[in-house]
Amino acid sequence: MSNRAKTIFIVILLCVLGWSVFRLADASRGAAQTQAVSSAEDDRVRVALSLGGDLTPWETDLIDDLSQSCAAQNFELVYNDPAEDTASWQLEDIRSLLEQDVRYLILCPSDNSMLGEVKTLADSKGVSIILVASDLKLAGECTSMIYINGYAEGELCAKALLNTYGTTRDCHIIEIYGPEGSPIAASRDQGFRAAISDYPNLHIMKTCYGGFSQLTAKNAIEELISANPKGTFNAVFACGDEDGLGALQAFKIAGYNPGTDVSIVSISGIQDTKKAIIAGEYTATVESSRHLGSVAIAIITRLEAGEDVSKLFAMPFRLCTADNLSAYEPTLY
Amino acid sequence: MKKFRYFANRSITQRLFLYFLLIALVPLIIVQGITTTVNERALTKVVQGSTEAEVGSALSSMERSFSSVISICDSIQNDATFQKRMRTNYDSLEARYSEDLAGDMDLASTIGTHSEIYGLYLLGANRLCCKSNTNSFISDDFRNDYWFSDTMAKRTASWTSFHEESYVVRTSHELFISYCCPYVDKATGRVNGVIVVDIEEETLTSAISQNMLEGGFFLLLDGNNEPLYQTKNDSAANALLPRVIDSISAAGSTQPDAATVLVNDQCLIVFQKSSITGWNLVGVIPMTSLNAAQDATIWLAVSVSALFALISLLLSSYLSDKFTSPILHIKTAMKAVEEGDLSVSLMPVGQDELADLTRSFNRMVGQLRELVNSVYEKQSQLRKSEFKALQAQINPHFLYNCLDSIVWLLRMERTDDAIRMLQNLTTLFRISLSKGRELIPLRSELRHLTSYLAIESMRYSRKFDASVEADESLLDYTSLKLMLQPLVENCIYHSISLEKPFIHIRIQVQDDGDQLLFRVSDNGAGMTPEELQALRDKIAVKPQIRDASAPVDPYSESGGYGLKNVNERIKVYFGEAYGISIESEKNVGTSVTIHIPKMQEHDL
Repeated sequence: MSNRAKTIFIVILLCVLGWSVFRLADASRGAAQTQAVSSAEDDRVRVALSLGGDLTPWETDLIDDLSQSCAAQNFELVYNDPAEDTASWQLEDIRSLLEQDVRYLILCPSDNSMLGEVKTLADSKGVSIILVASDLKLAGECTSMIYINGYAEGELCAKALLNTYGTTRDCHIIEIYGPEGSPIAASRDQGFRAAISDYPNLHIMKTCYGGFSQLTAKNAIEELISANPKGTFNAVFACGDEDGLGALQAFKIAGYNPGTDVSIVSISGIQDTKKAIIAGEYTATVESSRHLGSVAIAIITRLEAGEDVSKLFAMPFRLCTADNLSAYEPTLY
Repeated sequence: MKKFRYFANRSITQRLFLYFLLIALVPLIIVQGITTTVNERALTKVVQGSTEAEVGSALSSMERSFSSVISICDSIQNDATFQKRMRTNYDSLEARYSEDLAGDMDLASTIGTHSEIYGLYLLGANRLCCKSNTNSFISDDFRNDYWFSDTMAKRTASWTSFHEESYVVRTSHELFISYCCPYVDKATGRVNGVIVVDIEEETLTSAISQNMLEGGFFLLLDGNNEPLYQTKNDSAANALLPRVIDSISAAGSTQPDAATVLVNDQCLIVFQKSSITGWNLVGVIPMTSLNAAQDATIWLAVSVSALFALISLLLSSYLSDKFTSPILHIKTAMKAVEEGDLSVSLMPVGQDELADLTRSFNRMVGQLRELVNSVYEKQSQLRKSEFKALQAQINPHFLYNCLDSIVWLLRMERTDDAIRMLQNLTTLFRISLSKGRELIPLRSELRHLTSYLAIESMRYSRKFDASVEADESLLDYTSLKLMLQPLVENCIYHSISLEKPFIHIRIQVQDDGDQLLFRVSDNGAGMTPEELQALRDKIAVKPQIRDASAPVDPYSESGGYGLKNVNERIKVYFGEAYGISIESEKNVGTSVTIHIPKMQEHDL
């Protein structure tokens, strides 16, 4: 075989090889490629939501509210259900959300220390941050801040206990604190402690960890009840309603009559707490930041319209007691 | 045949190349063909087998969840506290809410570690609402919801299809499947509520592997073969659905614990019915996906074949060149030898047959070189001998003496003798020339000898006489030209002495089988043994390689020169077996014998 013939043969074989490899890759891609092509992009404004901690009724309500508000504005909401109650998980979650071509990030941080890094990431992607926080100093870290006044909410809880016990009757309080590093829980705690400091009959006997979880709080309270004589505690302050409901269960199991023997106050205003208040087993809850989702989407709508928006939006709150909760409210969390 | 001839006419390199290529490619193509065919069938079986396994495994996992749900509902039905709660008519919101919260705790503890259950709800006709999770109810009165009233009316438990959001509590855009079970009052047998159990879609379908063949999908059909859930919701999957459902409906009742396989022109269907719910879990593999997978196998085989063919081609080319390279070198060297260059020599590489061939070639060329040199030397020697023989014949002294004798004969007016001498001299020179031939008939050789004897006898008539004896039948055999004259000349010049002033020279030619025997003998002075040995040695000395152009002086040779010359010529023409032998005795005489093969002119 001459060199020319060999060359032609080699070229033909290379062509066969190239073509077959191409077909192989094509065949392997198969239906996956078809599926990828079928997912068409749309040009709706994408709004990301990042939550820290377990999915509580307050957060479920926030998601519902955001979904309805986004649908009304033809925005697209993207979020992931929290898988872990850690700052590192939330950071990863934010990174993945920022890769999804979002324009706004509504951030409820589980830990304020992550804000610097999140801002850098968001700036690099041109994403505006709508921050949900209870620390006014953080207003500079975001496009706009939705302010939850945790401190005042804590003060309101103290006021509810003061209403029950007055200024003379002893109130031995168990304080259930929220997740470690949670800025909102910390500010509520500070507000409560500052408020009771003026009244010597209101004092914190014990503190325990609840972490915004019924089960955790219930177990913690059970331990305290069993470790102390009956009557040692007659009040509970919890940073979140879930913790307060856990305490309610623990006291009921231990034979207490919550509402009579023990006064429980907490913050959030979820449905079960309000039912407990109506049932006379719970003293009060501070309904916190209702319709936060609507407020966030209203801010984004104005930003999209090119309007100037305020740097700070303060969310309202109110004290719910047996006096002002007489029936089921369909808008309860 | 033409093709075979074409193939046979190719060079060894080309043929080797094609042999190697055929040896490499033919088995490769056959193996690839068989493998591809077998793989295609195996792939279908593997896909079918793995889908069967997936369907079986996923269904049993789902059934475990279904069983737990039913079991939990049974335990609530049989719980006295719950029976009492459901039987009670609450006269105040406070009392009902208090029972709700107590029921929440009990339901939460009933669920325990059943993580597959998202929520367990007990909803009474008395508006009791208990839940196992912390979610908020979407309503405080479900009595008008269709699923509630339907379950109450039918008094049978049922599974819903997948639905977004829970029917009972607020959730964040999740898919659920729900079990709605009537709560029967154990005291009256009346249905006084509904137990609802939510299972998240993710939880239920997590057992269904997503690692299916590309394009394939799983499908969950209810008892009426209505789709409840499918892992793929694209247009291709939806287009297959009617055909899949029709096929399953047509298949009728099947074994509940075993997968059923259906194949049509569009897809491969593997399905199994749940004994608890009556649902079918179906694995669907579109034929296009199966074909694509088979195509991938085929193209992989083609890629590998092409790659191997390419490697085979390059290797074949390399190997054929490597194997034939020594042969081509030998061929080139052979051509050089053919063109006369005997100086070529090849360097053998290795110890294989080709190296042996190279060494043999070198040996052959060496032997050829020696042979050519030998022939060249022999030819050179022969030419020299002939030249000397001729030169001896035209010895100027002999010619001068002859002419001088003729002059004296004429002066003495012996004209006839002079003419006879001239005629003999003429004959002598004519036969000497013989048109350049070396072998002449014996008749001519003897005539040449008699002419010489006639001339010499005129000059030395008182010193010798001679006789020639040859049978007439031998005269046509060939003889070497001028073979006898030097022998006779030696007799005349060396055998006549003072003691033997007259000698008789006898020339005999005899038939000796296949040889002719010549003997020239005299009764002259003879030789001493030492002289005889010296003469024999002189004759026996092999001819030396000498420069052919170097001048030869015949007068510098002693008396043995003529014998030596004749001996060499005989050996050159007839071989080493033939030649001269000498016998001599002092004062008795000398006899020289020659043997040559008996040949006639037509034998030459």
